[in-house]
Amino acid sequence: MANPAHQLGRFTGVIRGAAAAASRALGIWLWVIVFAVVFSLISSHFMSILNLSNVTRQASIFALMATGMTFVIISGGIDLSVGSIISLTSAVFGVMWKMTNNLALSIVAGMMVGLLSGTTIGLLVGFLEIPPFIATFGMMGVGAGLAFAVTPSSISGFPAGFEFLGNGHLFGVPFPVIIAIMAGVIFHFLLRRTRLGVHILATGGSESSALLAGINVRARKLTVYVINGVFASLAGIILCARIRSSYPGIGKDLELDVIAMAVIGGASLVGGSGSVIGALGGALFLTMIQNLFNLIGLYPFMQKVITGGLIVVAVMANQSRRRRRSQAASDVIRASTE
Amino acid sequence: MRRLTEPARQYFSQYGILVWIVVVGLVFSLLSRRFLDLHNLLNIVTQSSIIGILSVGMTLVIITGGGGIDLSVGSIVGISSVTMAMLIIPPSYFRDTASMLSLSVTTMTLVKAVGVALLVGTACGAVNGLFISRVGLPPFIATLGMMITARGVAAYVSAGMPTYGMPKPIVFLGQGRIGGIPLPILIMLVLGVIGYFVLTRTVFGASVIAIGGNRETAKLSGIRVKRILLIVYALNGLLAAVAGIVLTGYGNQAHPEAGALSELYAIGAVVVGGTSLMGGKGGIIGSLLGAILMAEVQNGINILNIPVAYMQPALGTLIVLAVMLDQWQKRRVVSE
Repeated sequence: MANPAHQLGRFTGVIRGAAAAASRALGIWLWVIVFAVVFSLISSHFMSILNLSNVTRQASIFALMATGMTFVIISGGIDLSVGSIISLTSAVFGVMWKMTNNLALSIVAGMMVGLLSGTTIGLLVGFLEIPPFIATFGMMGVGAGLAFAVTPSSISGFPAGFEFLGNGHLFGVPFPVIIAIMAGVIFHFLLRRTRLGVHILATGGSESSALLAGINVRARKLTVYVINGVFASLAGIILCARIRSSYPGIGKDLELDVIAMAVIGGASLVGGSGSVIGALGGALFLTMIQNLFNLIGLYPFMQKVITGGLIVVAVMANQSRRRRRSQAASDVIRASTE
Repeated sequence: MRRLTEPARQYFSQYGILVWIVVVGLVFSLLSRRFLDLHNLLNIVTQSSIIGILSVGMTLVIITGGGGIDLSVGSIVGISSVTMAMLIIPPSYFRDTASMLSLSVTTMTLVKAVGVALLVGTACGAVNGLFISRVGLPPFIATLGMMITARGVAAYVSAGMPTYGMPKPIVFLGQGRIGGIPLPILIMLVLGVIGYFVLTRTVFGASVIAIGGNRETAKLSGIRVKRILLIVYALNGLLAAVAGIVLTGYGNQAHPEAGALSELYAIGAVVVGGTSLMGGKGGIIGSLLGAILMAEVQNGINILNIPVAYMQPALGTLIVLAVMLDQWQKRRVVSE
């Protein structure tokens, strides 16, 4: 019998089920889509090609940092030094260019900063068992100070070709976006489909079990900090290309934003779970919000208040989803054992 | 001989940071004649007092474990500082900041301003505590949200501008002396002693340590985990507000950016002082010594005229080295 109330109940049930399924499959990307629709209603400029290419370009630089950070957080660690690594990369890159006028050499020198600082942190955390918070807090101070010691001023005058790295387009898509998507896809597969990725997940999930399973936990920790350092340096170089100059304070205060992006994307701060695709979404989410605030001319203080609130809400939504899923899993287990 | 040295060694493995303070002090006093001077030494401890006050509450927060951390204290310092200043300035003087120097302030206004500032700090901490204990958010995220939000509100309250010239009683809190000892030091010591007794001699302190040791066991043995967490974070907010008021007096100005980065230095002081970020163990004396060690290094670098760019690298390296040595020493004690 077709009972209207019953049908309505079924209808809302279907909607709710579909929403739950969408949120399961998409995670933060669902919110990115919802917010994008809402934002385009709030500001007519939001969906313009120029603005979209601007937002995605900005977001893709953050996405590179958030990808590296996701690996660190999955391993059960944290990295407070990314902002400083970016600053130091920028400074070293600029000084190298000024000294040699050799672009390739300057880029290599800049990338070496991330490689070396990542290795240092990895050795401290993995092999000397210094808590990641402390090791990277120390590196944060070292990087920020050294950047200004290397050069206190901003350097510009790079060749036009270099600018392409930050401001160019390929088939109409901003070049940094292409880099970020490529890096995202590669590292998503690295995390989900390779032995290294599984080992990193296991290390963060339970270090003692990973050790018992014969995983070289120390080497895995070293690996994640090296990955993170290299990503930070890559982002630093692209940032230089985007603003056509290097500046030793360029990465100041970025670290907490990047951590927030990774966590919004689903990385758990206790380690063991997280997603590269989610981190890209987290980066886009926060950048989009900042962009809208600028478009509608919101006061900076209100921007801060709302950003702070949204970070909390996004993680809360993420958590309740995770809880529901684990609840569903335990229901299945209970049903199968009864 | 062994019996004689053993207590000393145990003491040093517990407060190994004292050795660091002495060693760093020796190096600086060899390098500069101005370092080992009573006036300068008092200066060092005064400079450490803001981070010291913050580290008392931070120690409790970190001991509760489960990723317990509070990134918002720096912003709470800022918000309480400007809240107090804005309640002291009559609306007619708004934004005419220099005129405060000549203001006469009634006791009632002052009490109200300080009271509200303390209340705002406690409220921020309580909101952190609610999100962490009731909603179950990771402390890192809950307090990161508060850090950003509170800084925004501080900018709003103060219209983004610093206010110079505080009333005499506030300045006395930051610059005054009692019996020759600067007041910030006394405030830090009093709060440190209270914190020490609360942590080591009360049921509340024992509960905090138990929660950090094993939350499940603590819950099963009847400890009201959620309530304790709420109180710890609210207390931390209150202490941050105290630090904000002392800092306002010390610098004779209320600044919306006051206390920026001090959360990381406070956490650094706590960890250098021997409290484990895993929770369950630690002590307030170590945290205060950690704050003093950091101020000592900053002071030495200033006295030696080393470029400021090397200040952060030196501090960062020192923090890592101190923790490294501490762990090495503990491992040796365990292996024996």
